Amino acid sequence: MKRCDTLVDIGRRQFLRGAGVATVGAATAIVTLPAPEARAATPLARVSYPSNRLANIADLKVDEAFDVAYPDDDAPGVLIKLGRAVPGGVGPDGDIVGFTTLCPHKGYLLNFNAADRTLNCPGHYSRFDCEAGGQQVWGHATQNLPQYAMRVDEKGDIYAEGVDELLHGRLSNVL
Amino acid sequence: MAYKRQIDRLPIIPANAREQTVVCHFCIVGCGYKAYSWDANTQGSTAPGENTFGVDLAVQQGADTEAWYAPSMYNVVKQDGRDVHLVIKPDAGCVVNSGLGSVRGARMAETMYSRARNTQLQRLTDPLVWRYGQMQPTSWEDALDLVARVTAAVIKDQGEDGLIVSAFDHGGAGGGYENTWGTGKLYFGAMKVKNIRIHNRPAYNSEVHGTRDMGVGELNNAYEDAELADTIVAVGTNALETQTNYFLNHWVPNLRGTSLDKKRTMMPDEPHAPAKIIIVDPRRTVTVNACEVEAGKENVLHLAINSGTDLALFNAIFTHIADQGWTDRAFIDASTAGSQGATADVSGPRQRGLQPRPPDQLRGRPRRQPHVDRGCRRDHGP
Repeated sequence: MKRCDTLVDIGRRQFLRGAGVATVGAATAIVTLPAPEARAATPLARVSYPSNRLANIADLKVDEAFDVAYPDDDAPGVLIKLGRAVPGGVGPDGDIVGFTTLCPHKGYLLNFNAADRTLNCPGHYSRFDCEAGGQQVWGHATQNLPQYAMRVDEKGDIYAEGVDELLHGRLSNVL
Repeated sequence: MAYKRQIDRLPIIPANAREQTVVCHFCIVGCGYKAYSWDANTQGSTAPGENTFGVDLAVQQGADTEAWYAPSMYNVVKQDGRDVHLVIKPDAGCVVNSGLGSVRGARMAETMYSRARNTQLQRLTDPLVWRYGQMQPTSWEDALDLVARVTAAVIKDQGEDGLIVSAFDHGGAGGGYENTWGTGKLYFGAMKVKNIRIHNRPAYNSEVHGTRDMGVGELNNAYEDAELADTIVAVGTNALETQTNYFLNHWVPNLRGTSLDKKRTMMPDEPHAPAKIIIVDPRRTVTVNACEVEAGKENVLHLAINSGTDLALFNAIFTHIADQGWTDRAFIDASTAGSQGATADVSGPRQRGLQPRPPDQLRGRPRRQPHVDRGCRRDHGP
């Protein structure tokens, strides 16, 4: 029986080889049909962020929160000049940072506390360290505070170009 | 630099995802969560008809929204042998937490057993035995043999009273012995040991040792009591950290005064004010701070007793209550034996000498309907 099966297989392959010319013809016909355009739907690994001018260095004073919004008007945030170089800090002194002000726990609006340079939540007392990349000092969020990737041009204009954690209230940072 | 996931979007839960109501498997509070799962190859979209929330996810959602989940609430796990997306997020409809998530429960998905995300590496697969200066994996035969030989030697040398087991006791939705089921069966069921303690206590007792000696068992109140009480008495508990949503969702409304309407509706025949709170704890915890923020310092009494003097404090309070005659003699006589002696004992000179301070600080506090919470210290269990 075994031998018999093998012969059947050989015969099947023989049959397919013999039909080669016809197969090529059919394939050519298929290619001419309109195929779904896969390339247009190719997703990116991360969302594409706009490069938005948020302020000029001249607008900022040390330890004062400057209200901004990024990546769109419905996503409030702040720029803070800390007076000393910190992680994620930009500008000539490496001391300008930008964060969302939506608490990643329940989305309440954070307030800047200049005394210890933290962003504080009035809802459930969570606190985030502006000098340490938005590290949660204490609180209920399961992520550190989303921080802006920023650059400063030769005119002193400050641009945000990305966010490093998911913003509260949206399942894609760019809607 | 703070840890950042660099995750800036999450898969959207489709409208036809499997939805299950679950309870958090960490602390004793028992917060409700919703677990959504759907096939790895499918996804929802921002269109209201194509996601489980029925809302337009292409716009910013507000504070307290149900239609958002953090990266920690997402994972890829196997169900019936198939990879599925999993989201476990706080249940806004649960009366315990009303949509609030703690740093424990809001991480349930992230910490689920997932070969796709490597969390299986964090699971204990073999018994560990302390050998050569470190915990070493070994076989069940070897581990149980060691337990048997040590146990037999102790009993032979000191008798059964000399055998004291120190066990870990935790886990299983809403607390209990679930993830140490085998230990429980061995020591309670098979060996019936006389002495056992659990991870954070000298015996298998309440964490607030004095209260049970005074006849007050733990976990004897409804969470709603904390919304209605005139005064909350919190003994040895840092509830904001260890029973987060019980504190945030049930104590805070009373301290803020936002449960006043409920108090007036349920108890219309008495005056009501926002709650006052007495916290007995050697430490000034975040709970103390949060209570002061919500209720005002004038409504918070932090009794920072010396460690180990809680029973003396309770005796002092007991004495004061008895001295003032705030007792229901008929009820006590019908419910207890020798209560006259108890009053005499705690009023006696020996106990007076133990009192760390006369209870002057307590005088003048409201005395109706005290709500006593005996929560946890570093622990989350009962």
